[in-house]
Amino acid sequence: MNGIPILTLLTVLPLAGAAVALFSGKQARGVALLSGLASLAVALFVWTQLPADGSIGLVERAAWVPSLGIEYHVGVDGLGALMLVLSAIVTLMAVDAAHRVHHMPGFFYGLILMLQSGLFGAFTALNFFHWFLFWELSLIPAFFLIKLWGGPRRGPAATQFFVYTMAGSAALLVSFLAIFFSTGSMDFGYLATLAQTGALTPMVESHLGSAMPWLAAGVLAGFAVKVPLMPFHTWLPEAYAEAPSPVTMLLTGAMSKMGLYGLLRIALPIFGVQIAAMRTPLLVLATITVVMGAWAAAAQTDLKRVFAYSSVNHLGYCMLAIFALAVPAAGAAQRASQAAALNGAILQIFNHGITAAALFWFVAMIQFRTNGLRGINDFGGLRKPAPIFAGLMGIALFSSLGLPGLNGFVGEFLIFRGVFPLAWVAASVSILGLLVTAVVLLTVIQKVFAGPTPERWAKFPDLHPSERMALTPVIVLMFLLGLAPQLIVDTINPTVMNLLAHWRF
Amino acid sequence: MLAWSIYISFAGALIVALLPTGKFALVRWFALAVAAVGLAIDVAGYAAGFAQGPRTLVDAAWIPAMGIHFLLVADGISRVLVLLTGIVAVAGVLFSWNVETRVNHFFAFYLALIGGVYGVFLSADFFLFFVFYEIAIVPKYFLIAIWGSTRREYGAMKLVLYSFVGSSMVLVGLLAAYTSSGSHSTTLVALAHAGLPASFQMWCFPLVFTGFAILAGMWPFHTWAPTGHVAAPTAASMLLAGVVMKLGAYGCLRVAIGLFPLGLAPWGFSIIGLGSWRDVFAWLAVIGIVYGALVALAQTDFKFVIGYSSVIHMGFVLLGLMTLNQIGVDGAVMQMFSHGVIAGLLFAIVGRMVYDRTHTRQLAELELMHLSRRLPFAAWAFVFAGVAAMGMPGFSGFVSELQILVGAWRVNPWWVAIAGIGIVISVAYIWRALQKAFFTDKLPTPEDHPKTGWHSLGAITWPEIAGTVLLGASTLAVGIYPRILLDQIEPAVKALLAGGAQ
Amino acid sequence: MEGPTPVSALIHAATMVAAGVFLVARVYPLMQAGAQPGGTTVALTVIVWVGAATAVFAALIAIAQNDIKRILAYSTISQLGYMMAGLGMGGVAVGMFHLITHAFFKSLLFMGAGSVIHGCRDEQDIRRMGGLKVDMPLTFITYAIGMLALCGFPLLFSGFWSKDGILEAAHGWSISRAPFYLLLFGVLLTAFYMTRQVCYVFFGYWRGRQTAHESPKTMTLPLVILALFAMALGAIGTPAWPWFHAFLEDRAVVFDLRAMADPRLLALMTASSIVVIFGLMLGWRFYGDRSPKPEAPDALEKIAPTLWAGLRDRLYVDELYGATVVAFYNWWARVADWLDRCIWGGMVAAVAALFGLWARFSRFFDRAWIDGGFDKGCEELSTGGGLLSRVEGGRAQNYLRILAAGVVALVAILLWSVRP
Repeated sequence: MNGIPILTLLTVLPLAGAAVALFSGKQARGVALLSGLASLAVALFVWTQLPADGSIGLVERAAWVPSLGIEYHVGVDGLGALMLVLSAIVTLMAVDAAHRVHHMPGFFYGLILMLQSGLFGAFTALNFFHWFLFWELSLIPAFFLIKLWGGPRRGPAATQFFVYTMAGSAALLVSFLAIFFSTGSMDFGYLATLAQTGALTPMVESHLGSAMPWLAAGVLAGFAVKVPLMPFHTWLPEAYAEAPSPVTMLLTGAMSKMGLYGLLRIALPIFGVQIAAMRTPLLVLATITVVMGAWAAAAQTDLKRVFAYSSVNHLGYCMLAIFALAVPAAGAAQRASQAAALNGAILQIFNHGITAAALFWFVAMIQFRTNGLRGINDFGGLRKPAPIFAGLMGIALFSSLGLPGLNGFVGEFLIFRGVFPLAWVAASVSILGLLVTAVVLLTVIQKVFAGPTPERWAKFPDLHPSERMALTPVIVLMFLLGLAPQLIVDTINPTVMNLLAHWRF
Repeated sequence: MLAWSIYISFAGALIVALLPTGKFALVRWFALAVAAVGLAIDVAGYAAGFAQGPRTLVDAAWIPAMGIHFLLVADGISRVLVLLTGIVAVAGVLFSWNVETRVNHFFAFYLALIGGVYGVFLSADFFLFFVFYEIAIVPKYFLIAIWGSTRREYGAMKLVLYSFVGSSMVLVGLLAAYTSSGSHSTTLVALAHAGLPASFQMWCFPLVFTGFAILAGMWPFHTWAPTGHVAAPTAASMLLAGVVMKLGAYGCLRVAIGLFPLGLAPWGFSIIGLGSWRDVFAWLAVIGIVYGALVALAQTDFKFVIGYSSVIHMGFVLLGLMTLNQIGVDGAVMQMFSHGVIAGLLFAIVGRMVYDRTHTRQLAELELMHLSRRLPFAAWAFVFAGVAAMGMPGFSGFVSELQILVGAWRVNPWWVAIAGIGIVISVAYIWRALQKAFFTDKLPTPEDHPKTGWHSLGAITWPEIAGTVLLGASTLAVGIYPRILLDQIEPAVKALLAGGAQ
Repeated sequence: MEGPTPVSALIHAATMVAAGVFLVARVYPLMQAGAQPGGTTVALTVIVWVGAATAVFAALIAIAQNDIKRILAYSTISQLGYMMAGLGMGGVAVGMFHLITHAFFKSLLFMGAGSVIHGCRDEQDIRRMGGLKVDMPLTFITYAIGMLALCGFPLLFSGFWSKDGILEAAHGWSISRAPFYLLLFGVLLTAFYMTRQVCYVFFGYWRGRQTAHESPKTMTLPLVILALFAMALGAIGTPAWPWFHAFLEDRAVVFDLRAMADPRLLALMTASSIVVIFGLMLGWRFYGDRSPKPEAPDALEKIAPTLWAGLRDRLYVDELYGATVVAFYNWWARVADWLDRCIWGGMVAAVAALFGLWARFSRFFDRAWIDGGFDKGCEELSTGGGLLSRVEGGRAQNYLRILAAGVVALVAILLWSVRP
């Protein structure tokens, strides 16, 4: 590159935006939108600058605290760049959805931008200290966004979210410190190389005895809480429901992806052997997440909780793929399946981020129009007074359902294509999740949009032109990625192959 | 040059005592000037210290017959702690801007305490060390007894008693060492090289270590700390928690470990899994971490919560010391600095910003006051300080805890595991206090009105802002660029662990 | 079926419901994989039995329905059974041929039904129709053509050729003759229920509320076109000129009348024709030219009321699903929610409560034991000190007494030590 530290700039840009937004009062939303658009432009630029062979590019390195193995080391490959683009898009969506924040708007948008900075930092970091810094710091704006602008039970919801995640993070930290102690390095790349050559376990054993499985469990615990993996997910429904909907968009669209990214960047490369040894229980948990997440969604009456559990279900597919591909000594056919599963998981991460954020956006719009109502039984026949709204939300719902032609299908298809040969029992049981999700989301359409229109919704306002304009790119993206997923896959696949070549199970 | 910080503080104390009473502004500004000059000296000395190694500042024969020297030496550890003292001293003066009774005497005792503390950190002769140590106790008593709040006489007396018990244990140990070594010299270097037999060190070490550890708030000798800190006025709490407790830890490191390293060797047998004094003290430290967090979780008084947080952080310090490896002890020293600054900030917020305005420290009452709206600066400062206290990356506490835990992994994974649980509980207690005190969801009922009163709580004053910025910037700077401290700490710790006190 | 008629015509006749058939045809090589020497596999056998059973099951239900479109809907299900059975026994071409002929005559029937409904001003119950052959002649004729094609009336109608292809394959199936008999029985039923429908709708006299009228040309023109196809399409699949089968199998086709003269083939065609005509006559016997009142029981109902009730209630399949799948779904959703709130959530709450308890105990321990212990110690000390301080009571007389005693003692010792 020509020497400009793009990734550092990208990470700092939202902070600058936040600083301005804090003091902008009523103009804060405009500032946030500008900042968001700038971030998106930079992120897309990064996307185009990736090395063709799928390795990590745009690297910036500077010594920080050498005696502690702490280094300022950032870089992205296809996976990281996709996460950056996703974060940028979802933040923009969230800012746009939050157009009626009356209470301390400057602070609200400032916190959102700070959260975005945390996301960018976590997705570009290649050294544990740096990564952990952003991983933890992003919790603070998230907490206050829920606590200060959330619903009636926001206090307990935000606290549980914060403390539970921190508990997982503490386990992760302690385990990683043991790795650092044994190897003297906090660099993800170096540790992955050690693990691939089989040198890591002996190193750890010479210092700590047979601690590797415990360390792997500790690291997994941190991610299991964040993604989440059942049964470590109980903070999620409350947090998603009580957070203001734009914040929920960020939580589901981007923050949950931090956990999955961590699994791919840290857990699988470094603890691949241990994860392969724990594969069966992990697959069981992932399958439970898929199936029970979908079924729990079926029992909810609050739209936000329906989508919250549905998110748990969709993220479960990603974890299914990730754990399924931890097969030791894979043959050629299995390698093809692994590639499919990993491509699918990454695609699903992106597509779910967009679609889930869009769904919560629609819920936000419903809430604005009905003074906060969001029960599934509160509505009916809305497609008569608001056909465009019904149509666009219907598209988002079908995308979430996995209808071919929309973006939600591609990721799920590839995941099943990959997981079936590798773990057919888990895949077969997870199909139930697809079925139940379809029923749940169709029920939402039926209860909210179809049927007779009650008197009080006869005047339900349809989408304003500004809302239509804001939503159009998202809907177009859903179709575009559903019909031409190669737009993403062409860039991701080299990274996938590169990652798989370096992972050892 | 650093030695001047001692002299200036004592001189300043004397002058302040003699300043005309009633001229509050004059006294305050003068005290601030003294503290600031001290800080400036500390910073200059610190900066110069990057190029130098340990440096003898003053060496004068004092009582030659007994081999007592007036010996002041500065190495990396001392410089860091002296810098900490300077920072907290200035902040303490700023946060005492609103003291109205007997202001002269207040700042006189304050500056005397500072001087004593500087002296301890720079002493390299155990007699001198002891003198300064004892000098520091007297102002403590008066600061709490006269200007304190809840149960101040009791708290002051308790603190002093514990301190004296601790220091007497230290005195006995050091005198024994002095006589065993032939009574030639009282310098720490001489005692370290005196070749004291292992059997002697085996009983002397725990005696001296415990003596110092009492002042450092080691479990189960810690209960003076919450009581004392709660009773003390804000600046005194800041100093007590921020600096004075570090005297104990410093003594543990410099004197106990430095002079009697053989005392840490394995006994050859083990009782309930403990095989050496190192195991004993490490486990006490770890227990202190978890225990302190649990007790803090159950407190109803805001200041008690912060008081117990000191116990937790000092537990980390002691754990780090007991790892006896480079990285662990580095972490311990950095944690001393980190906790000093963070605790100072926490007490400043709770004491000066909240209590002085609301006149209550009960969380149940604060919950009804909506302080995030009425005292936004205090609320967000507490978020900052609380997050730093729980070891969030980006702040100094994370780097120090990181090093301590890595050092602990080297010795006993169980210490790490339990300390990890302690970290999680810390998150819980801080977050509880934060929410109850500032970010409540409760709306006051009509009956609450007479108690809480919606009158204005008084705007934040410039000294409070300045003090907050000073302390906050310190922890942030170290958190982001730990080498500021590490580059000085590492060589000093290395030399100490290799043998010889200085 | 609940949808508007053109929608039904499209998806329920021709496209959507045919998707499953098409899918099986598409993956036929997979279905055929590992075939026994007879050309059968487990997969294909299962398909055959399911298809044959479906054909009869749905036809039975169709007999007892009273909604014009519902009869056609169950008829579609029945014909799909035929298609599946044809695929399983005769191969892709046999099944697909029936698919495309069915597409035309079934959409014709649905459109015709739509025309009828429109003409009767949105009436769908056949018991409230009747005599429409007079009021809606074009509809009647095209509908009759479609109906005959569906029944498989010999020679002139495409349905005959396609259905016979299936029957021929069934007759020659190596595993069992039973599907053949089932399908033949289904032919009978098809003729019967379609006759019933046509009689109710077009024959007899009008029982509806308002007068009926013929539909406009926009509706009747498509009917005519479809009727033409319903008749003519059979030509591409006769044994004499099996163009369709050759097209699918990518081989050349020859027009050969002698192929028709195969005795087995002739026998089958005759047999099926007899069955069809018998079914038509049976239907006419029960329903022809009568017009029972809407409330009156059906002719068959009078003979076998319980059987009729079962058939009318669609053999309770929907209720079965409701009681099993749907009920399970709803129950399991509640279980999942309960697990989440009470068990997983409960565990987290329990952990939090445990720590809270432990915290409170630690606080008590700290205050009462550790702190209290120290305080107690201090108290003892000060009491002891108090006792000791009595020695320094400050009363001079006591001092003097003790001093004096001490001096005496000292002198005594001194004297003792210097005694000679």
